[in-house]
Amino acid sequence: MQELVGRLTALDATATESLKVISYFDALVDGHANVEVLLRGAAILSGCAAGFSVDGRTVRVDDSGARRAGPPGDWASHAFGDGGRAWIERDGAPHTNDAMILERLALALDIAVERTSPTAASRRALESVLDPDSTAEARSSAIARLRLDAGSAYRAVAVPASTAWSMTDSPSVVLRTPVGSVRALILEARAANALDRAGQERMGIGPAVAPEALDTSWASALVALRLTSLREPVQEADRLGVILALAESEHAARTAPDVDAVAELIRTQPQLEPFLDALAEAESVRAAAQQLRLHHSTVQAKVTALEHSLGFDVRTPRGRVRLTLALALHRLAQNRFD
Amino acid sequence: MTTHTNPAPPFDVELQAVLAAVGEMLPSTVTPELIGPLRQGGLGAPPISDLIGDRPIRHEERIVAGPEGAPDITVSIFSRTDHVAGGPGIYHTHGGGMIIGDRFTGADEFLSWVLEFDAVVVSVEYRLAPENPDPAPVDDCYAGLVWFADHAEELGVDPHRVVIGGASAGGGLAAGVALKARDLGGPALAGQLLIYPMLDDRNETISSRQIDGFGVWDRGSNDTGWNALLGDRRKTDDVSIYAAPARASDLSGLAPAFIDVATAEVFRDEDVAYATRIWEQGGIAELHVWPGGFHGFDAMAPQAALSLEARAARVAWLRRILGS
Repeated sequence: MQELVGRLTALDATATESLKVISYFDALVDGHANVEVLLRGAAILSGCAAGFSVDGRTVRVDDSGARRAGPPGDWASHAFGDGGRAWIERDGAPHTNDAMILERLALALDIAVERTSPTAASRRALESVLDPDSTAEARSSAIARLRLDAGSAYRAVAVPASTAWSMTDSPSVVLRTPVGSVRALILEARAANALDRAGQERMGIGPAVAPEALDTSWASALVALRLTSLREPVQEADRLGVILALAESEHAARTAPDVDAVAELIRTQPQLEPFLDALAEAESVRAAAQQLRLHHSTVQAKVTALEHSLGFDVRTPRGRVRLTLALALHRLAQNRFD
Repeated sequence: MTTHTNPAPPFDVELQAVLAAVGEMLPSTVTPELIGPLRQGGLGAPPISDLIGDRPIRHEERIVAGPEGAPDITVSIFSRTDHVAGGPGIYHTHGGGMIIGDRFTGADEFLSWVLEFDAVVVSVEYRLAPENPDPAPVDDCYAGLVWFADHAEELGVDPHRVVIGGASAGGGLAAGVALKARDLGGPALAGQLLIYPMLDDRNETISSRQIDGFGVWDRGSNDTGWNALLGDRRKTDDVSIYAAPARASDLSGLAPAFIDVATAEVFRDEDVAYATRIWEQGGIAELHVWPGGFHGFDAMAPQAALSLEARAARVAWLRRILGS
């Protein structure tokens, strides 16, 4: 009969065939096809064995779509979901449509795995807990699923998604935020307090709260992360005080002359950034000079020059406040975690 | 008369995806105008030698006597190159709605039976409608079976182990030939393999109304096929049971039947009814109804989970019937 109705076979090496790939995977996704059906589709369309690994599980099928055991192997692959990867076991040069098949497979697997895996379910629960728009009902069922104790305090922690993260026993989810992909974690307050701050790359730590308030802790953790700098890669909401309140306010996004001036200085003279940090934090110009291992008079001369660029004198108490806030708001605006 | 009809059962997800990807090669509704283009082989069926490939299968063609007063017919004979005499025979009547296809239509599947059972498969080139209306197709098929039975030993076949089989129109023709062989005291059959057979010219079942304008071989296509075969006689009392086996009231005394069909195709209800009537009359029939399949699903998507099971069920039945 296939002579009459056509048949799904390995694709020709022509670009027009790519439409078949799209139609095929779209229909599978619409129909909530399971992962093995998705993989079989990729194998049939490519004429190659194919596989994927996710959440510690590997699934492979041969070129006829039949299930086959086997290790992941070192094939060109496409990432999906949280750490998953899919591949086509093509020996030799890739065929015209391989990249398209792989991309569509990964996209479809992403959706299928998200819908069905227990890991994905806990990821979704974490998202509910962190989302300020969750209903009370969704929040409490997510808290139950994550086994968070109503009587305990927790902190949300934000780290850039690109940071290697080894604490696999803590619930964690990568969220798309306006400043890039950020991994959110929930730690018991005590565990968060015990975090090794010195060894960390960038990290923002939210305040300790009851489980149902974790969305606010997360919001603060994310702002704290945005306030990090080379000098202070770990920021804690608890220690930011009113700076956090200012950064969280809607006015933080507005431009201000002080912030513009700091931004312009750092853009044109990046080496000034640690200098400005030191000035903002040290008790005096002399103390700043010591921190920076510069001669006091050198620092004095630079500070005088700065007054012209910034429009205020950083040696006055008000000037240091303005510098501190301008640096904070500059980081808030500039830090990206893609 | 208007009848309310519920929507058809949904397609199986995997099969639906295949339909989305390659279904546009065949329009859901085959109209009379499409008969010509479809016969041109626009679908790119590979030549039979390519289908055989390097498998140990011999292909031989014979010109044999057709029905009385009608032209000779061509049959293709397929056997293992190491065939052992006295094995089973499978007489194949191809599909194509009575209007298209040739004796190689369906070869992909029957060649696997040649290898699996050391069966000798004889596939008949019958005349197609509308140029050759009923009874030309079924009479050609019957003549080919008679020739096969008469030459069984020469072909290395045990005449007591010959099964007739075909898909779609070929399933309808196989059922018609089986009825004719019974009525005329013709060749004895060991079984009839009716793959989603086209049995009923009336096209009045619920399933025939549910599949209309989508899927494969829809209601309109079925009208095209039957109109070509029967012309003005269609839906009248002047239709023989050999042309439309669903018209047969007596289904006793037939070889064991295997009938399969899918839930989302026109033939569902007439095929289930055919099996039911065989049972009602004390006959032997095995019925498989595959959920979410469309007409010819296993051919369009041979790797799909449902297709693998459907084809395995046919093989299992053949193994039991052929005793090998």
